[in-house]
Amino acid sequence: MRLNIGKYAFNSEKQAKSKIKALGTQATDEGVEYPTHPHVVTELGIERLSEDIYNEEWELLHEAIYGTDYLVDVLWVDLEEEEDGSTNHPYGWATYSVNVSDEGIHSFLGLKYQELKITNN
Amino acid sequence: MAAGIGLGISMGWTYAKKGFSAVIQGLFAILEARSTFFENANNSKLGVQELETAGLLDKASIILTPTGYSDSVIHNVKPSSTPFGDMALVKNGTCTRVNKDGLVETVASDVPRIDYSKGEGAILCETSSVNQIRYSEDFSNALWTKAAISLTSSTGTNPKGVSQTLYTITRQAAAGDGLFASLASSATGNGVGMSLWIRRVSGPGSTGEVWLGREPQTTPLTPSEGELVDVGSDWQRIEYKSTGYTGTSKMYINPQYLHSFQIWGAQTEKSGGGQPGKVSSYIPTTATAVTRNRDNYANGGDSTLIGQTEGVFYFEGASLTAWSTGRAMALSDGGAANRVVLFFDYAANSIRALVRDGNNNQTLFTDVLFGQTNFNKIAVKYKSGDIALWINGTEVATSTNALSFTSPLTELAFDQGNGSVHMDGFIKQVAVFKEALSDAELAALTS
Repeated sequence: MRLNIGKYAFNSEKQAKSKIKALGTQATDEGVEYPTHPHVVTELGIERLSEDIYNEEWELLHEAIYGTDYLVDVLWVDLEEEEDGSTNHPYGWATYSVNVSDEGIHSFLGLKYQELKITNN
Repeated sequence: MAAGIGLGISMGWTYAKKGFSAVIQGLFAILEARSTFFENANNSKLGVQELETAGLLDKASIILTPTGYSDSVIHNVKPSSTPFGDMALVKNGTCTRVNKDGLVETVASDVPRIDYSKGEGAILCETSSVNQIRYSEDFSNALWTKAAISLTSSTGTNPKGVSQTLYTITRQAAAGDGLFASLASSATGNGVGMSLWIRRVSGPGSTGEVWLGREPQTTPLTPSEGELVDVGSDWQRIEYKSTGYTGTSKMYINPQYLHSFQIWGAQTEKSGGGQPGKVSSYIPTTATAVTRNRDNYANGGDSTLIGQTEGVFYFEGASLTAWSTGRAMALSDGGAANRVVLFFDYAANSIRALVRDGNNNQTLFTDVLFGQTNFNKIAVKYKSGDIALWINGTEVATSTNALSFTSPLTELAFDQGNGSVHMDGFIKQVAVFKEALSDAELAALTS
């Protein structure tokens, strides 16, 4: 089994959910959707860039600052391998991929992003 | 609600002393011989003994208990010769369980988990989940705000049974929301489940109260925002689960004044789709939020072990949560066309049975359980013109629909048959029969 980890920053939650849905979903008789693909998709949402700031009486002085991108991490399972042995992001995902120097704000338990990241950006 | 795990698990020795038959001893001897890991044998033998007492041991073609396993596979008790029909496990990355000693234990990739957090051994099969709280064991980190809290550290034994720097929190007589930390990213309309290992180390009386919640503790209390839990001197895992959508972005821990508590293993999980919160197995974190990946149990069974025109599919188990996406186990042709499925339903505390043949004939039952998170005994009987769902000794639904599978049932899996809608819960026993059992036999099986 070939594993890869991708980190993505979408313009909006709606755009991210559209991409995720396109990976494959089905619906139950009640219309509840469930994924049919083998990948593990973690929707992180909007990143918190700073923490709340309080005064000495623990009154809130400044609220946390959030980013604007909607972040998604994916553990890809058995992506198609290129002839040169490399792996690409699935169609439509590469545009939104980001490359961080460490693990970023999220990781998969027991797996290392730096070892499994897709290098064909 | 507090979920005390204690540090000792009842092993059912009382019954074991009465002894098991040579047949059962033989089955488990074979199981042990082909297993890398072997545990919980006496409790599992008790479950099989119930089948023997009901006259069903010989009739069962597959029996799975939480006992014998190896890397990437959980072994069946029966059959005891090839084809064994064992289910394979794919689980990418490590995870944790509560072992027989009540200790949190790290489990390697692709190794099955026998978990004892419900007080008895069961196969733990979980969907993926994210611990949104960073530095789950290091409360000295700056991401943990200490508002009217003094934090001290010392070396002690953590809930893994390992010596480690542990942190003690004590409430100060000042205004402040206690110890709290933000989630790594924004809330997106989810329920939340929060959990924390904790023990009281000093204070008046024998216990002290701790608030665990998604909002600060208020006076009077706002129960929908957290749990106020009584904590004693033994490590226990306390929990708070929201009852629906929340927009929370923080986890709050607020100890009772004059009491000191050691804490470890903070966890906050978001649930999807506005559902209530759930608490799953512990996911340790440091600088990042962390996803524990799903257990994928599949490719068990064999066409020779599964009834092709009639049979019974039985399991005893409990769901991790009463509200979630569907959670299933199935006998199937490897896809969705021909299958016999038992679901913990999307609806609260309901069970669903689905029998579908390739001719698009479908029989569907839904009935209410005592509780999805309790251990229940559930069986579906399938035979053309004679389909029934049994729960805890009672036949709850029947159908006379025709049934004719168009391709052989070949696979046992902890999903709905096509590799989706995976089980999320605890399994004490699975049994497959190649014949439609009588009502008396089904009553005995599920009682």
